[in-house]
Amino acid sequence: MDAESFRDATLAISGNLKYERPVGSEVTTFGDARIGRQVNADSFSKSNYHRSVYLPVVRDLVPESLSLFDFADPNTTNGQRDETNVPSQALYLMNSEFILIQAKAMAAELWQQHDSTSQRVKWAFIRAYGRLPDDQDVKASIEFFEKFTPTLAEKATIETPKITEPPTRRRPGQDGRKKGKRGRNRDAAPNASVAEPLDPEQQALVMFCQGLMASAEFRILD
Amino acid sequence: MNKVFSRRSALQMISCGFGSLAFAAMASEKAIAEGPVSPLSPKQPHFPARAKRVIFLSMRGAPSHVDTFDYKPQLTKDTGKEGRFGRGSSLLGSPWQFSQNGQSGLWISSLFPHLSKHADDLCLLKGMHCDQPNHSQATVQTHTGSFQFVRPSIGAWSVYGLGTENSSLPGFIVLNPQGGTANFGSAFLPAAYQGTKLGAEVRGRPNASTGPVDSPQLPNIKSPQLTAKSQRVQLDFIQQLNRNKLEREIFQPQVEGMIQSFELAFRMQTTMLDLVDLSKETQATKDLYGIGDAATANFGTQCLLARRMMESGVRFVELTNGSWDHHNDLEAGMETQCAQIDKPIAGLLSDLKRKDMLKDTLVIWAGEFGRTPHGQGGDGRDHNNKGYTTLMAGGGVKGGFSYGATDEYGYEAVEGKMHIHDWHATILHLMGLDHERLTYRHAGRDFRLTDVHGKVAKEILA
Repeated sequence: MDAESFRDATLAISGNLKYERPVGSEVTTFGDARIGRQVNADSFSKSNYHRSVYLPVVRDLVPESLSLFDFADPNTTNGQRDETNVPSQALYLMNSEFILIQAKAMAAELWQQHDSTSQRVKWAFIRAYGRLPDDQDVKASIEFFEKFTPTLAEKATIETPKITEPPTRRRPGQDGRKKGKRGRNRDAAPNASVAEPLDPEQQALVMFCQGLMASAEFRILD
Repeated sequence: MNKVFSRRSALQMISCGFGSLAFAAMASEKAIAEGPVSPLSPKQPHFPARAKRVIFLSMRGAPSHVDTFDYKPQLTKDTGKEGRFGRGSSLLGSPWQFSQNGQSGLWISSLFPHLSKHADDLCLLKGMHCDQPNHSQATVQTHTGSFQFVRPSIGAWSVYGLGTENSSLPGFIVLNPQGGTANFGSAFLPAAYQGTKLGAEVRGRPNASTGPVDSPQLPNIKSPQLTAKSQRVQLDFIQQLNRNKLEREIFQPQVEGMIQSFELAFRMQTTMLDLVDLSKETQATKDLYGIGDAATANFGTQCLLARRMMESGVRFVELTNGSWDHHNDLEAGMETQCAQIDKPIAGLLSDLKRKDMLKDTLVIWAGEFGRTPHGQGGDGRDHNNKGYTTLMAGGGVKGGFSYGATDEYGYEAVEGKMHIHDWHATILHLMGLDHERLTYRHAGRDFRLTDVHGKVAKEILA
């Protein structure tokens, strides 16, 4: 997938994608600030969850979410996009704030909509891959959940990354949280805007969702 | 769920799978041709290399040659007279004094008090020229040889030709990258040769190089919340999904590439953090590069990082400083810009020498073109691609040597002319690569960095 499609797809499966057109250019919201100095490329993309085609590209300021994935140089004509596969992309998928926020949002919805890990896994695959998980996928997923949670014990609480609250799309009824679960943090979904630490099970789900976003099948169209 | 056909499964089912058979045959031919060896493993050069590794100091915006390394006394004399292109442009002599330096007596302007002490290590190429007077295109040509097509970067060609010495680091690293991917890309070469960008690009441009910077930004090098152990489990999951896909589909070079690059990324999290951890360097070394000083901190840090990368086996490192685009305010602009790089480059040369690495490390300094001898708007200079100066040191070039010349004013290269293709041919030659033999078959023909051009400047070889 090219950069824009990948970013859109990530936003789509996280549930954050805004389908409507933005009103006006986001550039205007920065007033007289000098672009390239006070305002950099990621100022535009950080909380902009519209489709990537609406992201402003001002001269050669290209946001990381696009530039890392072979976006065309806006200074010159380009008949064909490069297709590269480099560690900086892998690092972005594993460690970037943007992907983490999307993984959290996706996990939050799965958490709220489904009661069991197996259901969440099933629907996560449907969201990310557009298909049901096969036996191998299920096996890999079970193995992940079994192994991941114990590793969290090393740190008693998980630090929530510094995340500026993104404008999330809220669907009606989504605020009606599930009741009667075990434990204190149960009611708190692993939402991007959740400030308190997540419990290990929620944390695992976030990292599971992020894993799907980083996987080859999500990034490659066959 | 409805059954959805992928293009792959369609090939398998339609026409009794003949499409799939053909695909499998073509794919395995390709796999055999590529072989099982990692594309990054070290390779023998065509002939013994003088330069085992390269540091390319990329000066963005095009520094003036007539104010730095190309001494033009006639221009100073004729200041105020009409320039070559008329239209009210008048010649502007350099506001800076030039002096002869070292035993070799190289002429260098007063803008480089530190670097001029290394005159006897420098090789000045004063007859440079390229095809385009526009930044974007000329920068791309400086990197790839072509200003109009997407072609592999010289760093990518170097790693393609020689592999890399350290498999847990990228072979081609670009610090503080500026400009488009085309400058650092591998184009039709396998993606493994592409430059890995590290640094401040995402923080805006181009003057990211001003102001104090303790260490360069390494975007996403560290997980904001997972321990290495947790992340390993997550990565195992990702890789298991990837391997499952590979198993199902048999030939998927893209997936193989992803598996490799995730492993490299995971290792990089440790190796890169160690590499950029300058705390182990002594204060004396940091001072040598000017890291404590606001003006030189950024480029000094880049230079010290480059030396550390060279030591760790990285093949090609590019550093960036800019902007040198002095259409106006030439005096203040050049003072600022030169002050940012002078001490760091001098420090780099001293340090490489001290570690006995200068002899096989090639240091290259270049902008994308030069600037006009006539003034622009009174206190600036316009673009000039017909004649300019680049600089080399170490790695098999003659020290204290000046090669080529522009006309009496500095408009145009007239002697020892060196087009970017010649420059590339020479750099590859220093690395032990014959630019005519370093080819890659793409779209039915063999491609070279130098296209059908390029002449090695034998005169500058030590």
